[in-house]
Amino acid sequence: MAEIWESPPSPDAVRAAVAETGDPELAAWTARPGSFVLRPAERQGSRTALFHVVLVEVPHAMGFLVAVDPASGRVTVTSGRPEAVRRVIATDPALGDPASVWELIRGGAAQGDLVDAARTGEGYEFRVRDRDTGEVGGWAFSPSATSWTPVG
Amino acid sequence: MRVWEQPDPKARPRSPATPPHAAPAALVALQRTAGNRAVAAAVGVQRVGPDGTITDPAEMARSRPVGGAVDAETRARLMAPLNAAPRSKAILDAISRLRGDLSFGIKWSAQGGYQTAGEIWLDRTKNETHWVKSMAHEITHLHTFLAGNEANISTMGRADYVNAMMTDEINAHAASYVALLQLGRTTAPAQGLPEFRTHLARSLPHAVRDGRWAEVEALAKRWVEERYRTDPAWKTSNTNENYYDYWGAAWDRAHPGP
Repeated sequence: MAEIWESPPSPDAVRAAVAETGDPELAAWTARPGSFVLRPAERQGSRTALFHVVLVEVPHAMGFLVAVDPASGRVTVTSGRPEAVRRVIATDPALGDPASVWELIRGGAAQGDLVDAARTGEGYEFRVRDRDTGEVGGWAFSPSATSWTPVG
Repeated sequence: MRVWEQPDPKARPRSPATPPHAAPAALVALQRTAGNRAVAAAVGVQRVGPDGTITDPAEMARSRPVGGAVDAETRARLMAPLNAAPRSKAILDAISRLRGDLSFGIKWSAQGGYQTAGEIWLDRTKNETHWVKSMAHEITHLHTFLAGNEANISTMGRADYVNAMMTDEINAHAASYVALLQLGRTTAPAQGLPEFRTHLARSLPHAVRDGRWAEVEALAKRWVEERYRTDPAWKTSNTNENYYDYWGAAWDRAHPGP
């Protein structure tokens, strides 16, 4: 039987998911044919397949993560989108561990190398090392919120 | 505590409130003679920090909408140091020869600093120190694009594509290191710069003092390439792998076998 991550979504399905976010930057990234490829993420859910959208025209490792529900075919951009992450975790609790949540949510201002991740009540806290400065900062994320917070 | 809001690109920018004591004509005159920051100080509303940092989400959405053009004042403040560093000035001159001008797009990004399709995007959450560092790097990519030498995953073979991506990135690092050293910005937030300065001091102890910049840049290229090839800390931020493997895997995905 094929694994759920063996069937990536089509480029148009990714563009439709990007359109749902209304983000003009992600739309510009994915507009041109051949401007991105999809690779299965190292972490996968039990009911949700995760794919990196990898930009291939920018010589930096840039892109975002999409979650795919194989049952419905629904594609969702999760990077930097707490509400989308909340829905993915609710659908697939296997992705609720702190390291998986970081993979789902990181993006935008919250970038860098994960130092450690932990649960804090109903939420999560992440310590992340900035690649340019080497400084370690923190991010807090609560699945019930629509924002997340730098915690110094 | 600051709260970093999930960006809402659909949100309409709000107009700033005008304090009652700020006569429009006086503010216009001040803006013309002293710039936007002086106006902000005059009306007692410090929406933008002295280094260009914005922490208020509403002000961020208003002043720096994702995809919006960087304002002329900030653009000028970023181009000035680039023109003052001989290495970045040479790249700008080459860009000007290819374009006919230096009016390339500079836009606000919610994702980071990068160049794509002839435009440079800057991380709107950062500050001028970061943006100068970022511009010193990205103008190399812009020049590569304008010269028609950009990597093309569709037309290039696997090895050529990987090599083109990595060479462009290594060149951008090296040129930015030289420009930052020429500006005396030795603590700029550029990946690897502190370690390279240590290596430079050991390998070419008097090169900076003597202005032997070509030697410094050649050393930087060799050093950065070594980092990308062998240093586990220089891995991709999204997939946590070696960059050469990363671009090779991307090519493989773009060219699925039978």
